Amino acid sequence: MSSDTVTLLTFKAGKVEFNPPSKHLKPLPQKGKITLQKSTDEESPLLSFIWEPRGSSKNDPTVERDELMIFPGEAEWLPVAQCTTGRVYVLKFNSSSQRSFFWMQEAPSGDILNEISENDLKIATRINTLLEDIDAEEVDILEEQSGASGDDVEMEDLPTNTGDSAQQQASLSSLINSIVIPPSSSSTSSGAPIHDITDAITPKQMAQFVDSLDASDPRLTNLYNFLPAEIPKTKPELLRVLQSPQFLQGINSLSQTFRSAEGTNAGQLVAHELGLPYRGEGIEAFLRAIRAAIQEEKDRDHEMQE
Amino acid sequence: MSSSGWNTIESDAGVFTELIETLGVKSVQFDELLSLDPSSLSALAPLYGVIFLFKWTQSVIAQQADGNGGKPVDGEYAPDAEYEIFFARQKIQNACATQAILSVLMNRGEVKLGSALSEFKDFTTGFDGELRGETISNSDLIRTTHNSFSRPTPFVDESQAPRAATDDDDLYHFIAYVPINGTLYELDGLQPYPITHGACSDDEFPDKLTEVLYRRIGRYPEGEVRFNLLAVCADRRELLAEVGDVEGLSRENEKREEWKRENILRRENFVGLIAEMLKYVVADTVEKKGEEGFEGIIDEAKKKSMQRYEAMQRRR
Repeated sequence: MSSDTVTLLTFKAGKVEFNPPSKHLKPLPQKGKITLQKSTDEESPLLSFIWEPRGSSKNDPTVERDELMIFPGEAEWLPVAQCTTGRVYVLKFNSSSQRSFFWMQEAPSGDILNEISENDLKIATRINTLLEDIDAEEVDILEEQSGASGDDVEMEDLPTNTGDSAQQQASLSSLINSIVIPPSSSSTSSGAPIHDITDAITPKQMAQFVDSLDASDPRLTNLYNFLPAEIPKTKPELLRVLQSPQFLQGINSLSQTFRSAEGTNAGQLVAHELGLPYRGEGIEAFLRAIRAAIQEEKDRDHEMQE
Repeated sequence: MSSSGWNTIESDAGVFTELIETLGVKSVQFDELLSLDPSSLSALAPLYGVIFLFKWTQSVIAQQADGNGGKPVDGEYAPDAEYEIFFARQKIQNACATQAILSVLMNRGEVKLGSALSEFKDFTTGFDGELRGETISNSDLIRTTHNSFSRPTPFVDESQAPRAATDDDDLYHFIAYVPINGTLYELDGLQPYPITHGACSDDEFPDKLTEVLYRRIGRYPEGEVRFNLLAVCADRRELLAEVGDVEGLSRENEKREEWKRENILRRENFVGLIAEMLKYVVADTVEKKGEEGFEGIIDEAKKKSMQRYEAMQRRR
């Protein structure tokens, strides 16, 4: 497979070793860089997050290149606020407990070696934009910064207390994450079944659709009927709900209902309750039932008009 | 008793705070601790106790097996304290968060429990841990309140057996650490007795607890356990109002509003909203791109699912 790739972003960063029991972070001395790439040979482009050694560290046989494939919305790039002796970020996955820590090796702002710089913030914004949407518009800041980044930060430049004695505790927050549940072996065999409704339509697409509606659109009024009673019936509130983790959990849980329908009639029951012409099993059947219901409603409207 | 009556609920400061308020407790809240060090703990004074919650793997459960009759891995068993303080053996997995919460509240004399929990405390005085655990499991009030924070499943099918706990919700464990009458107690419903970690005043609690927890965390093999810490402390809003910290108070009020909103959303399964949204987005696609547009969504979804499976397998 000839895979064409486009580099979206690259910057200098080293790896940080994370020791979960002690919550200690230990910056590794090797020079490295992080590259975000997009593969263009697929209709749906994938984002690769690559860490590789650079400069003299390239010759270090103990250092290996890392590559991670990331789905839109699957991961976030966050500063580790608890680390006060260096500029440390974490790549945190929403779907698993996996996390990778890195220390920024771009030139610091002025003499302050341990403070997140303007440039770090710009990089973080750009990464998070790309993690959310791989096709996000390229902005100029990165061209600017590549010229301004100047000399590499060498290990010697680091504050001396970045060593073991000053290892910092990482955030304990939200270390509890849901485990990725592997698909059962039968479901991977022939022509992958759809795993989650969000693989077809994401909450973001729903929000974009709602956002595009005129305030007086009757479809908005209809949607308000499905909001919890306590939530104000306004477009911004509807958008907030669609973007909430609880709504996403609702979609995941509904997906699971249809996915695990084998041997139970849970999917049938839900579809029946929704008045959908559900035939077969699984999320594809559910989506096709949605499609059929639209047609039925349309035909009904036609008959009424005639 | 069967475990079917207790649902899983999310372990979250906002959920637990509203839960105890619904049970009638006043002026107490939960706060998530972002790091484990004495100063973050001291910042939350008056601090009544800390709930250490973790998600464990089978190998850790095996290590933790109770009733070995010997000594706990750290600290000392205090069999006599079982009757003197509020200690409950865990009878039902899903109730264990609520049980840990009660283990903090019931053991701190200054906490205003409200009438229902005060009665419950009086009723269980003198019980052993086993019976106290049983009594919690059988309390309609506590169970109903606990369950009101869970998301309803998308379907109601009474003919079916209750959903078996999955790996995801089965493996949480909650342990309360509380300074009680000058002694640091570890109250773990899977242990036969309360465990003591020596003398400890309220002021010493942050330092001593940090030591105990570091020892505990250090015992687990790397990658086997994920954990989180929740402080049980006085309602921050009352303290901030007292000292006239307007800015801090407004921040806490915002946090409360957000908790309230999240708890409302937690009680929804959104099945209706999801179906309506899907209809509109699909109809919109068909209108713009025809039937091919819809088939495109399906093909795309299959491809993404396939990549998702592959990525999951790689990561494993």
